Amino acid sequence: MRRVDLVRPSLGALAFMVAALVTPLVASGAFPAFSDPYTQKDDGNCTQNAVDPINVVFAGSVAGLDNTVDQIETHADWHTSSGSAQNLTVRVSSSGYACRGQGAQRANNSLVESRFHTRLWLIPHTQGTNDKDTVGDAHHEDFEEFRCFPPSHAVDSNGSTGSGFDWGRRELRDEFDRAGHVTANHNWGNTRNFRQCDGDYAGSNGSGVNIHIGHQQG
Amino acid sequence: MVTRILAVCVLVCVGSVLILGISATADSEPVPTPLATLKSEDLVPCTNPGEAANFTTYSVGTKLGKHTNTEVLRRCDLPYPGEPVRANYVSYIYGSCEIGDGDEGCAPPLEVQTWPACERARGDYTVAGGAEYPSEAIGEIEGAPAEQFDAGLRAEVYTQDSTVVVFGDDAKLVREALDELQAEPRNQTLAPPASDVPAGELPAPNPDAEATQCAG
Repeated sequence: MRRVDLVRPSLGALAFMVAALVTPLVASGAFPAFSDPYTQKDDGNCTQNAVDPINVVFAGSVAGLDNTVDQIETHADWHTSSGSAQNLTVRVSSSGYACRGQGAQRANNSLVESRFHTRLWLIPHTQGTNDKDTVGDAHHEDFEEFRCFPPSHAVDSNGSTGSGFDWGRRELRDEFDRAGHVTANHNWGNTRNFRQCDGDYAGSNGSGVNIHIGHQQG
Repeated sequence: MVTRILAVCVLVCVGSVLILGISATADSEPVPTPLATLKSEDLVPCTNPGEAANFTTYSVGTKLGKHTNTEVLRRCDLPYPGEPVRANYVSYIYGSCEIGDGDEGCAPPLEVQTWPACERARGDYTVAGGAEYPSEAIGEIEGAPAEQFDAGLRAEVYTQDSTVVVFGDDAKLVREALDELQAEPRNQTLAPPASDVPAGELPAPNPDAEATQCAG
């Protein structure tokens, strides 16, 4: 057994941790300014059921949920709103986070076809400000008729050109780039792997893309 | 009359400056990323399938508590233009998970992922505006600095050769895994963790957890 020389928390830090446990909000330490790095199943309280990596942030004065959806429909041509529901721990105040259901989702094909897909969450703490954030878990998924039972979507597994999470993020970035939006890649390090219904594993390469939205669509 | 005109002009000018100033700060655009690809000197060459990894890898043995090793993954991507990172790691997966109905996957409860130190370091992580991704130093593992991220659900240990990344369903499990890290034999091909690796010291710590240059 290795000796681990850990930093002892101060009394103040201990008091904070106790307070955080009894509040309905999750203490900070997650993604700054927006959310936990992974979505969660929708049947829990956002703990111990991670599902997808967050890999895109739409940011700007008009990057609220509705306008972000409009922009995705216009620039990426993702119009379908079918798909399952997920939760995400999102920032709700300057000092707290809470578990919330997704606000919207868009895909470029139906539930029974392979497709690009993203779920979207407006970050409540940014609502009403001039710097809104709407985050997403963009991915490409195959419709697996035989390898999954019942037939379902499986995010494309890890490979030399990335996983379906990387492809989905790149697709959105490329489409918004072409439309003249400013984008910026960051390294968030959220490279955890997720087992898919076909038995393969898919994870992000840790990149996250910021896509600026500075104009109202339509 | 002239005084009034001057006063109006001043008001208009000041007002314009204020409006412009507010507009300028209302929407700060991200700095665009040049579409440069990661250079070869920044990367460790990928090994062929079936070959041993060319960096020291770590696991927590064949099991940790009730979580048994269920999978060993090797990933080494081609760099993608404009992205600041490409995946290059060996991952030991522990435990199983249940996939929900519909189009969902699931994360096994524990994952120990090892990257070459020169391809993943503390200083690599940024968020919008170039701000540093938040983390908290949590001491040292056999002299190697360690940090935790994401409310303790991710921890990293920076050794001279490798960066070990531990993902878990809860912070306690992550901390338990840090206590049980073991280096896997360097010359073995991708295989389940060695069960009889003696609990010895980790290799020399990385004195610069922020960045290490790859040999290229």
